[in-house]
Amino acid sequence: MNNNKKITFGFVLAAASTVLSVVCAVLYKSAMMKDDRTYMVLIAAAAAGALSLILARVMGKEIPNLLLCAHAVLLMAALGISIAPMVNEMGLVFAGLNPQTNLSGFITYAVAAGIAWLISVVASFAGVTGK
Amino acid sequence: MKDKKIGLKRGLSVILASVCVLSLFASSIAQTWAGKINTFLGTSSFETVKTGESTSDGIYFESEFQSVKDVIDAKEALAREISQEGTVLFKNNGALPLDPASEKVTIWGLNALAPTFGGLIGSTTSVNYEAGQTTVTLIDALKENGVSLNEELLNLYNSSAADAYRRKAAFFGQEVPGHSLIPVFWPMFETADSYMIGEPPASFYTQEVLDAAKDTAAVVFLSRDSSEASDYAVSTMKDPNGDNFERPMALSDNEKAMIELAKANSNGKVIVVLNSDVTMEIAELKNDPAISAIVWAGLPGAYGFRGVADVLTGAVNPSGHISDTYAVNSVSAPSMQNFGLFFFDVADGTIDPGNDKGNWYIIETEGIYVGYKYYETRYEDAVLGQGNADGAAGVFASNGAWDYASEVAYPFGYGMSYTSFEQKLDSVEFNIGGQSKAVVTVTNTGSVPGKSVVQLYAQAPYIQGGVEKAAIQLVGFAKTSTLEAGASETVTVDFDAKYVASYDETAVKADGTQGAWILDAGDYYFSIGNGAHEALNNVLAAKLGSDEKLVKINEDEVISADNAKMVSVGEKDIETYSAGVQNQLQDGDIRKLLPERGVEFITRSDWSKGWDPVWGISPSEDMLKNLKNQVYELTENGEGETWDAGNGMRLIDMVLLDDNGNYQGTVAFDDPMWDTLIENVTLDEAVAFMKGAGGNFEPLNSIGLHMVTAYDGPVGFVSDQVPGYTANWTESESDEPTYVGPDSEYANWQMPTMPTEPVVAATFNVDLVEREGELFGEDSLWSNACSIFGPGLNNHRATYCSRNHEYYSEDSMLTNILGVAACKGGKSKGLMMEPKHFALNHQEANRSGTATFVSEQGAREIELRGFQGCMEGNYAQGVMTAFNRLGCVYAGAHRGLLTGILRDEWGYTGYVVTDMINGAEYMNWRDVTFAGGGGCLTENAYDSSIIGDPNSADNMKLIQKDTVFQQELKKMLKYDLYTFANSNTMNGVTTDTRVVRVHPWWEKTLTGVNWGSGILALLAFAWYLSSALRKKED
Repeated sequence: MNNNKKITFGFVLAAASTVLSVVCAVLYKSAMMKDDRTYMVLIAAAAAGALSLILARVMGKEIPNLLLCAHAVLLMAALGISIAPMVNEMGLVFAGLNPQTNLSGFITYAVAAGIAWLISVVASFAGVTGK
Repeated sequence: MKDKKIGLKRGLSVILASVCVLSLFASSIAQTWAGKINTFLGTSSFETVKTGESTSDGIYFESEFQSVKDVIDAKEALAREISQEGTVLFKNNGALPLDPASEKVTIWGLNALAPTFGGLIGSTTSVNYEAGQTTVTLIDALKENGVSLNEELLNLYNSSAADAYRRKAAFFGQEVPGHSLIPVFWPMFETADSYMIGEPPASFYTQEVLDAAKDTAAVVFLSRDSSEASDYAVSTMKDPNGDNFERPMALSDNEKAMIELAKANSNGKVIVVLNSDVTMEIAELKNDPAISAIVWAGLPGAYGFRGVADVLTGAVNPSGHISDTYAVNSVSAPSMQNFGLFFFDVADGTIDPGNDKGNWYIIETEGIYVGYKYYETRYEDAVLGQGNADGAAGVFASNGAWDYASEVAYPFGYGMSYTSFEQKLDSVEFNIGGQSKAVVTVTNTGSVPGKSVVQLYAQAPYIQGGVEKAAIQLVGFAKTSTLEAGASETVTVDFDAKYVASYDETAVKADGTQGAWILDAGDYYFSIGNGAHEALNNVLAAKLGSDEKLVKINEDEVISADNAKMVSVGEKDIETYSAGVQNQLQDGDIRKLLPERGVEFITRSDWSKGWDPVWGISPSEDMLKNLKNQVYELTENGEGETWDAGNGMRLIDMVLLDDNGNYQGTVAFDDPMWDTLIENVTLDEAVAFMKGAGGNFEPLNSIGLHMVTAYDGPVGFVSDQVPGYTANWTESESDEPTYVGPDSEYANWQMPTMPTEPVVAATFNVDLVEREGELFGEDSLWSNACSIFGPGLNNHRATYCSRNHEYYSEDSMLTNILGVAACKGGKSKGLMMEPKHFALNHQEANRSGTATFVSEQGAREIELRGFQGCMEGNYAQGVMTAFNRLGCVYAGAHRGLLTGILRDEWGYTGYVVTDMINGAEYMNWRDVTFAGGGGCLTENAYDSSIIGDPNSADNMKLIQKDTVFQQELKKMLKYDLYTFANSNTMNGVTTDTRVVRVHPWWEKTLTGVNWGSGILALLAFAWYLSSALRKKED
């Protein structure tokens, strides 16, 4: 491992985003969400993020940045997949016919996933590898 | 610098790729909701294409009108007529009719400005004010009728000083005037702690206003709200504005104070108008000599107040009769003792309320003694001194011992007129196994023309301790034409002896099966009367030979033994009406499920029993299994069914035409051609159709079925005039003369405007109800919405069910006869009338999953009888199941109810759909389909469920292996397709019609965004990667 590399701003953000994506996966499961695809894509996003961080420490080339891009896109995909089954419930809650608590678990997860995606986008601008 | 540029390109690539991903998922979601989006935007994803080979015009059901405006005008006129005949005059000391030429009127009641026209959600009265459509209040209608109104009080009501008191409920995020109840779809574990009456206190009225009211006739407007997904609570509730009342149906302090002000500041005429479909407590008004008249208007829809004003001003003579008992105390019926929130006694977590929705129940301990069948039966027993009828149990308004006059204000079927009628029961023919009839001569003995309702009642012989029987039950009715003063008319009331029979769960028939419709040996009495009470008094006078002990509660009551005829039946009959009948609902009787609990039901043999609310039922293991919805699992069985056969047969091939191309119905239901047709459907299509039946039935392209549109509800399609049309067809492909384009002046006029069902019921006029069905059918033809969720045929079991406005009556035969009429009318125009909610949907609080326990006799004689006529005669072409459970099994998946009774006993060939899937696990598609329940409404509700979308890869794998399940799917398809082929769904479709998938503008836009963002993302990535590679080379 090349321990001489500096910890960059992008690396920190990518690490934060990766940790958040793991948190999202946990939140998604604990909120009794039923779509396994979302969970799998979140795990894939976390894996891509983690791999990006590891390779950034050992390689320092563009491949870690590419993995970071994949991490961000996978996060967006997880959000997209998870929203589809919730549209019906959202309609009922927004109409005031079902309680907001029906969506609270999902909203927590979705906000966390959204933040993780935003961080990953900023990280992708900065780059996970140092100069 | 170079790194920065690469970073920018990388970031941009990520953003564009994310947008592309988001766009793809948005497209996927939009496709899932395409039906709703198309309906909203007036677009279509399917077009019909004609090759020009057919000579048929494809018009199988024709409109009687030339334009949609004609339909709208006809509905407005009919609404007025229904309210003219559905308005009930309870009391009149001569104050009515008003004389517009000489009398000025003061309208009392803030609620008169924003009355309740209909109930929220399924029967919401809705008009498009922006498009020029209007609603008519009583104030508007009286002005139209030339009545001069005192504007002083109206100005005060219209001022900001009244704003704090106005009713406004939140509904879909908007405030709705005229409502206080707030509908919710989730379980209501607590009763509402407030209900806003909507009237200001006495201090609100200024002296100037009071002075201006003197010398005017007072019309006092009292109102109670109605709503789906909400209930009144039995316990006392407070008004958030400081008003108080003992019960929500009792008069509030502010209402009483307003009435006192009206009495003190009028010309002596105080006329109370009741704007309520729930029965209010009005005995004090009845008994108050200062109250000149009481008029029940119900919830009369957008235009019905015109009919009420016609009655008030004497333009028409009232002929309505109330379809519910008006008790002195609104909670005095046995059914009210077990209404509301009851929870199973189970350890926490045993049943998951969120997913299982199996934690709550009600027990209908009243059995058959609902409404007047309780009050009148107990009255007879009190008169005859039997069954502890005059005991203290069930006393709510009597002083000590129960007595009828203290408990009932106005009996079922009562109504007054401005004239008087004499009715004479000439003869009765009672034929078991044949058609029965009564002949009645009606004479107008008063001075003004009017219509009279002949109500025919029966009393079957009750054997002490035997099968429960009501002392009096409506078996038929008829309405005269308008009779001039002095004129007579002979009326024949046809009825069927099977509806006099009682259901005996213990009877064993010759074929060895248990459960039968019986007619005991003994004396049967048939009588007529202005309501159930007068009819029963006639029977009692005939039985006792005297009217000495009999009680009159209204001044115009006439007791006549001559108006009761006795027919003796020599031998008990248990076979005539029991072919194919056997017990099907024993799993709904708590006494059979938990005999050790000793739950008592109301019984004539001892009226002291059955009054206690039944709390804390502990379910058995078997009950728990059903409450947790563990019923049908998909398994591998059989060889599979044939699908996607490609034999070329299409649905239009089942429609029969004569040589001239005229519609001749369809291929018979039992013809094997249906099986051949259904083999053409793919399994994927069949499953999608099953989960998407209801709101819109999904297309079956393989057999040429386009999307079939259905809407709520009992007061007219809950939609505007055209979107249903454009969802199915485009202008260029439509040859239908009933095409209404989106540019039509009336395109956005709303359709749900008719009076609510209790008003319709109070007309006791079959012709008017059939006409209403016909006009719903016309709306169907002009909007291309082919199925309507109505009429509501549940029983008014409990006064406090705030959805009673969607059902006709507390009486099953009135419901039965009117249900037949409405469905017959709709069917004549090819509209698929879809009665709801089958069955036992008797309360809205905790309605999803409520375990409803009931005796089979009670269920069959009270609730199911209301549905029986239109289902058995196949006048109804669809039926919507209920939210509740029957016993512990979801009603929409109860095989005994749906297959045993509906299909096998009644021979119903229409379709069955669930109500909105509001609990995907207990309303699960596996159980629904397996029980013969048919389709599921709200196609996307399974997306987030544990059971999952049936079209998902995992579930499709299981379904492909389960032959039994596939066979049930095919049965569902046969019922549905047979019904569609017999409806105006087929209008415009000919043998050369093909359904073609098209892409509406919104779909093209999304596709463009997908491609655009995808290409941009690829370009950005290419740009970024090339830069990165260049940097590496450097």
